[in-house]
Amino acid sequence: MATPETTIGSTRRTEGLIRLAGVSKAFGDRLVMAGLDLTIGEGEFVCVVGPSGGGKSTLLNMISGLDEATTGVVSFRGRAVSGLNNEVGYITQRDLLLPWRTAANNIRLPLELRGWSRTAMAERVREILAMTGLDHAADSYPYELSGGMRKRVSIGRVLAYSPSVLLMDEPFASLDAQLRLQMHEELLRMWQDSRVTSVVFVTHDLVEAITLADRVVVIAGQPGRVDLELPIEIDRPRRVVDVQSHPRYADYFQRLWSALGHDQPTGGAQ
Amino acid sequence: MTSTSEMPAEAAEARLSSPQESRRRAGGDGRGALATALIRLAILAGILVVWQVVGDLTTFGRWVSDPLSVAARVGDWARSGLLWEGTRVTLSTTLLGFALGTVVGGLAGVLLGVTRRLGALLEPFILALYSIPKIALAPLFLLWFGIGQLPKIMLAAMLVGFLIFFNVYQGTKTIDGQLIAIVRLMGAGRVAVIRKVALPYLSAWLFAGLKMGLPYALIGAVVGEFMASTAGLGYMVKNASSMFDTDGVFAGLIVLMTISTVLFLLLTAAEKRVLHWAGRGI
Repeated sequence: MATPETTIGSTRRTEGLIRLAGVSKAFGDRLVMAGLDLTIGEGEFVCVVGPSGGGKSTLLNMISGLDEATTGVVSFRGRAVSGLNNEVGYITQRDLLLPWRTAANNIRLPLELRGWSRTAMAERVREILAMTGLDHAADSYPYELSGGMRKRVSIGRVLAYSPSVLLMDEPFASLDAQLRLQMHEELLRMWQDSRVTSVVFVTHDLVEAITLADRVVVIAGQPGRVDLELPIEIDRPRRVVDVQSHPRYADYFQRLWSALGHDQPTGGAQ
Repeated sequence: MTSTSEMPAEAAEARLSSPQESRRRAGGDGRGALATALIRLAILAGILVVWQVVGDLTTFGRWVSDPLSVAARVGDWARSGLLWEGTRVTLSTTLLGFALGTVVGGLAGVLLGVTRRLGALLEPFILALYSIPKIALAPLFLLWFGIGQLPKIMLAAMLVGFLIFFNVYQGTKTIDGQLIAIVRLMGAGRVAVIRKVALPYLSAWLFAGLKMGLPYALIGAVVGEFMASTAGLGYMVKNASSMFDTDGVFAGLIVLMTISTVLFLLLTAAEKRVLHWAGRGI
C-alpha cells in the first residue's frame, strides 16, 4: 500500500468492494438520503464528511446491513446486502466494550462468536495486543483503562477477525486533540499492516479527513447526496503531523470547505 | 460515554450505600477510619446505657425491657436450645423463599425482557398484581399451602420474586441497542447475545434486586410465623408479646436484626466478588 501506484484513490476504486447505486433512505416521512451513488474500492480509505442529518451514519448502517435502503441497491462484492453483513467491522464514537471482560477477552469476543479454536484465539489475541500496544493491559478491565486504551481495544477487537471493511462513525470525536493525532498515526499503521481492509470513516473534522483518506466524499443537502469526491494525493505512509504542511493541503481544505457551503477559507486552511 | 455508564442506576445506588463506600465518606483511611469506628462504638454504648437506665428507673421500663434482661434472655434461649431451633426454622424459611423468589423472578424478568412483545403485553397485569399490598395475601397462602413451613416460604418467595423480577425486567430495557447491534455484526446470534451480553449485564441489576429483596425474605418468613405457626423467631416474638414478656420480644428482634445484618454482609461480599469489573468509578 506504500507503493506509489496504489496510493491514489481512483486506481483502487475500480475494484468496487462496496457499491451504492441510486440509494434513498426515508425514516417515516423524513427523507434523509436521495439518489446517492458511491463506490468504495478494495483496500481504499474513504472519509465521508458533511453536515449532521445528511445520512452519514445511515450510509454505514446500510453497508453493514443494520438498515435497509428504501430504494436503490447497496451491494457488497457484487451482491446486494440483505441481512447483517458479517464482513464488516463497525466502530462507533463510544467504545462499547463489555465491562465484565478484560482487554484480552474483549478482543477475543468476536473470535468466540465465529467459532475459532482455543489455540487460534489465544494466538490471534496475542498478535492484536502486540499490534495495538496493549500487551501490558491484557488483563485490565475497561474501567481500569484510559479513553485512548479503550479505543485501541475496540479497534483491535474488530481487526481481530480481519473484516473486509472497517466502518468508523466519528470514532475519535470524544478524544482530546493530542490523543486524536496519536490514534490517527496508529490507525494508519494498523490499516497499512492489514493491507486488504477498506475503511469508510465518517467525521466532521476536515483535517482528520484529509489526513487519513485516499478520497474524501462530501455528502450534503437535505436529503443528502454526494456533492464532491476529492482524491487526496498525498503519498503513504503518511506522517500525521506532516500532512498539514503538505503543498496540496491548503487546496484540499479550501475545496472541501466551499463544498460544505462556506465561501471563505478560515485559518484552519493555512 | 464510558463503559461504566452501562451500570444500572439502581445498582450504582446500591453500591453507593455499601459499607466500604460509607466508610470512605465518613472517615477515609487510617486514623479517620479508627476515629469513625470509635465514635460509632460510643454512640452504641450511649444507646445501651440510656436504654438500661430507662428500663431500670422509670415506670415506662416494663414496656421497653432493658439490654441486660434482653442479653440474659438470649443467653437462656441459647442454653435451652430455643435460640438455635428458632433461628434454624426462620433462617431456612428465609433462605428457601429468597432462593425460590430469585430463581422465579429472575427467569420471568429475563424471559419477558428478552421477548419484548410478551413483556409489553403482560405489563399491565403484572403492575396490577404488584399494586396489591402483598402481605395481605398471607391468609390466602395459609389456605393454599397449609400451616407448615411451606406457606411462609411461599410468602417470602413472592415478596422477593416481584422485586427481583422488576429489577431484572427493567434491566433488560436498558441494554444498549448499539452494543447489541455491534455484537451481532461480530457474528452473534440471538442465543449468543443473551449469553454473552444480556446475562452478564443483568447480573448488576440482579444484585440490586437481591439487596432490595433480602429484607423482604425475612419479612415474609416472620409475618408468616406471626399468622400461624409453632416454631421460628416470629412465633417466639409473637408468643412473648401475647404474654407481655417484653424481654422475649426484644430478644427475638435482636436475633432477627443480627441474622438480617449477617446475610446482608454476605450478599455484599458476594456482590464485590461477582461485580468486581464494575470498578470503583460508579
